Amino acid sequence: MLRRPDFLWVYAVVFIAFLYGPVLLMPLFSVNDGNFATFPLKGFTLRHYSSMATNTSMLLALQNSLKIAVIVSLLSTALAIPAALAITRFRLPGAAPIVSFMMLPLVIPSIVMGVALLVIILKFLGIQLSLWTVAAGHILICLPYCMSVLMSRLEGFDPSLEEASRDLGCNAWQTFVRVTLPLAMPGVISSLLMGFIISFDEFVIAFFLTGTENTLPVYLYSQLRFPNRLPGTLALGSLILIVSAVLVVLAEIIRKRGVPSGNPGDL
Amino acid sequence: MTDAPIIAMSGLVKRFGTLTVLHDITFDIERGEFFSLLGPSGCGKTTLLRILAGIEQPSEGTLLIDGQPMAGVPANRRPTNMVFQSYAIFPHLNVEENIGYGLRNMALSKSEAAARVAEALTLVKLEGLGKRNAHQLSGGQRQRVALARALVCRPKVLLLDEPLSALDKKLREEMQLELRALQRTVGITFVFVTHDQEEALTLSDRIAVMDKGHVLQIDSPRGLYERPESRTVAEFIGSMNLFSGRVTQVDPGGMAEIDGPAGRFRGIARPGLAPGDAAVAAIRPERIRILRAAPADGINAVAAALQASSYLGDRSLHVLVGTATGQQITVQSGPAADDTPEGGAAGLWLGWGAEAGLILPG
Amino acid sequence: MAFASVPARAGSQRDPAILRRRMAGFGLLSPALLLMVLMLALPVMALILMSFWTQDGFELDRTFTLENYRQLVATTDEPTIWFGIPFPFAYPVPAILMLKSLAMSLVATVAVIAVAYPMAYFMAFRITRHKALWIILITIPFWTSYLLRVFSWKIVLGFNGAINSGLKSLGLIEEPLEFLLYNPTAVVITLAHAWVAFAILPIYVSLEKIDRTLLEAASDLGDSRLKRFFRITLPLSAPGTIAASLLVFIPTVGDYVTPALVGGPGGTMIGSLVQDLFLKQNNAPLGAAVSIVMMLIIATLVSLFLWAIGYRKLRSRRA
Repeated sequence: MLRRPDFLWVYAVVFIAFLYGPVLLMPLFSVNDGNFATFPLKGFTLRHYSSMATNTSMLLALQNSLKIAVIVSLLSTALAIPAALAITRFRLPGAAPIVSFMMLPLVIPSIVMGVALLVIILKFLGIQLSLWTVAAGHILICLPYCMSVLMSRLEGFDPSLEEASRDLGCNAWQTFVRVTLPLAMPGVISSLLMGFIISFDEFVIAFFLTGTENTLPVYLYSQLRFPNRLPGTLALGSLILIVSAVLVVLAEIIRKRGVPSGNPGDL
Repeated sequence: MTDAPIIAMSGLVKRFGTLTVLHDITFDIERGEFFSLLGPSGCGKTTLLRILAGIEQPSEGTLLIDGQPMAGVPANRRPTNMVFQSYAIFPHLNVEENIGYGLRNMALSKSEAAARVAEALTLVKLEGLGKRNAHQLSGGQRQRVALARALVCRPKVLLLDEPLSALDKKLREEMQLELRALQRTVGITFVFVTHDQEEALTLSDRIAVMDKGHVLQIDSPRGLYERPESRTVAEFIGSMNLFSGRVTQVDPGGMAEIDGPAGRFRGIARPGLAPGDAAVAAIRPERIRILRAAPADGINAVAAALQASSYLGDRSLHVLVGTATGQQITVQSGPAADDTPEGGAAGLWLGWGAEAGLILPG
Repeated sequence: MAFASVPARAGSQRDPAILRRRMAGFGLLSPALLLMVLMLALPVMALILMSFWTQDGFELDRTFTLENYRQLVATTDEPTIWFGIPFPFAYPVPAILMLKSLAMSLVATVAVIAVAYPMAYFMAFRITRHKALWIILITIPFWTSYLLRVFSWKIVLGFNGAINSGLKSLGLIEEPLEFLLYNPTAVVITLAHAWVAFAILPIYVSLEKIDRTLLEAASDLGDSRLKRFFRITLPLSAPGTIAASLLVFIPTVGDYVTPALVGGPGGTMIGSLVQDLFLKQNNAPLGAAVSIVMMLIIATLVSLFLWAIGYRKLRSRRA
């Protein structure tokens, strides 16, 4: 591959460095034996990590985030599977504008969705803000992602597989269980993981919709203002980064497995 | 009951939005037949097959399978099974699981189902490959799995949607023979969709020729070849030379004569032709003889010049140009090259007997 | 055949099988669709309604009024000058922040596309092996916490940050450079970095879809590599590139995490004002009005942009 020096290869390497460089400073400084994120590095330590174990408000926030992320990922995938089936398998009139509408959360600034949900929840419905309102907001932003993952997976395989199943004596439900679901499984798992990551990392909507309890990103944000808590914040941030990265890699690998869809849009 | 047709179609119409793809399809398919639906792509043959399978619903008309009305009966409750064009082998299941797929929907014991899968594997010559995964199979093997998966359910009718079109020529010819033998063995009615007229002629007991959503003619291969009822069928099945003109005379014996720019022609007439109608004289290349001099009566005689000849071993093909009209005429001669024109290529005559040609509405 | 003259559309609508299938389809779609209506359409309508109310101390005055909108456009004789641009408004903050946000997002978007396009090109045309690996490499940063990606720039650019402490320990500077953080440039850099991974994928897909024989044909007809790029590759990848730029531009206009963390007083954006009005000034109706005006301005600009470049034609050409 290194036949001749290639500008694009050099560019790609520099680009990846730019993309990862700033983010990787966080784990670097988190194991630095100092109280500021400064060079030169002073020495290796894990004390910032070990002190997290006694930080009860952080652990509580972590627990809240995990709870919300699990619920959100399950519910948005459960809603997205039948919807993606309806869009890809039934020739529905008006399907195109419906899909566009459902993809809107991808382009609407999250602050607008945050304040709009805040207004309807507080001023119109009179519901108390809680972790449940955060979860509801997260389902809204996860659904478009789950839908697109599942739709591209479902579009990827031969429709005559399902027809063959009907022809061989299965009704619609049996066909779904024995053919569609197993073939869509990489997409389903990937949708579950993505829903989890999005909710686990989401800050803006959680910031607007949370009540007295914090999610992990909201807790993290509150800590960013205190320079003396920086090392602990770095350690926590590093852990979040690692967890997200592992889940993304997992989701991508699972999505690529199974029947190749042959669709270049199916990333 | 056993004499009644296995499939009876009456007035079937299918529309997709504003497009009508099937017009008033009415015919029967007999028990135990190898029946082909033949036509160019887009003629509606696959749609008709999918209606038989219950995957598509007709917009109008009635369909009986084994005497039972099929309106509102979904694909999974019909006594039909299908071999899909793409084979639709389930990629997450192995060969045995694919073949046994439909048996799970029947009240069969495990051992009984296993025995039937094994029997089906033997039937399609895939013994020992039961544990293979779908992606480890060649095109021919996938086709056999699809066939076994449908046959193992013991359908009353097996529907095949261009099952050989994805195979290369040699494998396709092999599979044609096997398919025909298989149909004789199991005795099930086969409905076979194809756009390949040679394949249809080789395999079928009867063929329905379709075009633009209409059934043009249903007949045995011999009947279609020798007695096409229309110009379209005559041109679609084998090759045919056509000379246009107007009917001048219709005999009570079933013969007719036409007169046109290329000359006067006499042949077996389609019923219903009357003097003055536009018509064509149709003659197969192998029924034409190349002559050195004009035939005495001047009927079925075309003056022509030889343009090209190709030797094909068992036969020779000659392309000639009619002197009067300039149209191309194809003539086929046998291996004994007695009528192959030697020397002079111009000043030839083409002739054939009145019983060899047809007069069709044009 | 008697029915052949009946318009087929009417015929298919009466077809009970098709109707049943449609009902089933909408039945499957309805839970997700209902949720989207309840949680997106209704809240936005509530927001619109709220913008016609007013805040009176701790009480919400629910009489319909255009007061909030009037407040946003009320003029004064003494215009506020901002970067030499006169703003003739009595309450000029929203207008100034809006213009500033649009400008900063535009710069960030242009930077993102300029940086992302060569990378997408590289992935589509240069990588032959391990393509999936590269895609994952590009995807990971996008899926990791936005908050942390923004925060990392605070570590890079901060007063005691990586650049300053690095340069100081190398002996290149005596005192930390203060101009790195808490200004619009820091916001633009951070926004570009945070969104660049998101922009690569649509561009990559549109490049990947280009039939390679078209490029061979262009070369065969005498185009140099550069000419071929401008005559074939760039026009055919335009839809993906435009989609990518909108996917970056629209959300960044309303961003407030980035200005809050790295913007400082000079780097505030319209999103900061919305957040402030809702959570600090307790003036939700005015905040609602600002959000709605912001959405309308974005929607208008995007529509004008798409109309100007003939996006519809561009898309249909691809199909």
